[in-house]
Amino acid sequence: MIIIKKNTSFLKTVYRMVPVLLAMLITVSLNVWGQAVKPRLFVYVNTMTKASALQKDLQGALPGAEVKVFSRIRDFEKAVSEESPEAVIARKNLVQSVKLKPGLQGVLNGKNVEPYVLLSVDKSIDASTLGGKNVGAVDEFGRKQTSNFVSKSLGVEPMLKRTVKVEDLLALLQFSAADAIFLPKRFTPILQKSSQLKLVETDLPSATMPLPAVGFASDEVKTAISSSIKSLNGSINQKLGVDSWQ
Amino acid sequence: MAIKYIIVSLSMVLLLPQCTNTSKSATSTAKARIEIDDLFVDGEPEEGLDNIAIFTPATETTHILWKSLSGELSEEFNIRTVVTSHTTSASDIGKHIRNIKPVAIVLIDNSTVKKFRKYQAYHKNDKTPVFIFMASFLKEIIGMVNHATGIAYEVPGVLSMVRARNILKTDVINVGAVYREAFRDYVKAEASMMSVEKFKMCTASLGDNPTKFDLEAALDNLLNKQKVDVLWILNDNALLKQELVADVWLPTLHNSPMPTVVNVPVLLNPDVEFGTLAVIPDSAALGVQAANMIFNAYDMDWEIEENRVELPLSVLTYIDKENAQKNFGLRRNATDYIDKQL
Repeated sequence: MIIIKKNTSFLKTVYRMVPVLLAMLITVSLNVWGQAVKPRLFVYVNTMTKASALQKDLQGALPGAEVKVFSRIRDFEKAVSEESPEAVIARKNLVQSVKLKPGLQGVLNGKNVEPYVLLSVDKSIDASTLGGKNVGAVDEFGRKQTSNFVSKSLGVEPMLKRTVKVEDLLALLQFSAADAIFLPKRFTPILQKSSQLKLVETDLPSATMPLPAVGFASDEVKTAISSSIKSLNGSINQKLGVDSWQ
Repeated sequence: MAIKYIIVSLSMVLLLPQCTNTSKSATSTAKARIEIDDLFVDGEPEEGLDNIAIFTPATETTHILWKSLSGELSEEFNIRTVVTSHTTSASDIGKHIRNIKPVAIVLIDNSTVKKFRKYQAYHKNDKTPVFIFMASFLKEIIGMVNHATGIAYEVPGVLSMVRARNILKTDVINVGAVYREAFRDYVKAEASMMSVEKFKMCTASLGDNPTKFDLEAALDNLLNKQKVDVLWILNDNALLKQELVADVWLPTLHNSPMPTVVNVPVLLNPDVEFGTLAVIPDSAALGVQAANMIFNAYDMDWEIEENRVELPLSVLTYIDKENAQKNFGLRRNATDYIDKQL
């Protein structure tokens, strides 16, 4: 009897502890879950907005993700390779190259690609005359890929001057250090507004590049943040170079 | 108020020699040498790739440039970095060059250039192309190094003013600058570049050793007679001496608030309201521009245009946001153009 009594007491103690243990388990699980459902979102886009400002905007709009914005392609690729984020926003070809599955595609003016143009000072420029001449472009894809893209778009091989930021392209024209700059068409009015140079656009019919897409490491991550990305406001989308996500 | 000026200007002047000296390099003067030599670690050399030698002092700023530059170049070359210090001699440089056998040599900072010139004086047949970065007033010294080219370190005024125009609500058209006669050619060249963006540079020149009265008169001329919209503060220690900052610059700007653009972050201090915007070199982006210059020379079989100095393309913009907003107003989306708010 004594033994039984003791066992009963033990069982009662265990029984009383169950809610406490359950609460502890739930708390631990929630913490783990909380960390697991806050995916890291790495961003590299060609934008006029400073990386720190874009990161602040995006972080505010996507509280469920840990956002990191990169201003240089090399830093982005290195970080993706070393840290394997759960999601990225970058041009679709970059998303694919880092082995993530594009789950949302940015759209601008109803299209999922954007045109590139040449800007030059005072008069338009014939792309076919730019072989061996200085042409500026943002280093969006690394030295070789950027160079290939520019050469393919122009139909000739220029002496490429790579820059990190769009605003640095304007400096090339201000210093007469380039005959033309090569950039997405959407930047033309912005540069024209911020400069007193007479910047003249030359269309390049074959020069297009996919717009940013969102790549996800898994369907769970996609479920967790895609609706927030789709709900980004117009100002943030504009900074990302899109007007909506599909 | 006077005590505040004195305290702040004292702290400024203590820091200024690190950033504003006109004859010494911007980075070599960073006296607080940081123990970061260990961060300048090259990757394993790959067989079949040519070597590029980088000579650099170890500071936080040179590390940012080195990391960006070596990261870019290591796609095609083995990078062999030699961290220099005040004990490095021309003979040490010679030993490293004989050992590394570089196809190109990179010199970072004026101190390294100085040592390398001594090496070159005894090795006139060495035709290895030399690329110089982060050296102050490179245009003045590039001719002293054989087979050399590089990128200037000073931020061109036109880049600073375009940032000011994009950020501040007030007009930025007439740009005032006080300078010493020794800077005449520099200021003339800057005025010419600014005119491309329709800025009008209004200047007041001073002698080699300006007094408080000279500076007061110069500022009075710019602010009240020439009616400038903005002041561009040149990096010249002689104009930023403790007594001039405390007794002339700060009281003048306190009495007649005027947007000021500086090119060293230390002059941007919200407690003082001296600099409104600091537009400074972007060292990481400079690394990309430098790599570009080296790759282009490589593509031309290492043929370089000797003594050619490119201008830096990329800058970072810091702002004393509260004071800028209060005194001059900020444009919509101004923060998109700002790297750091103080």
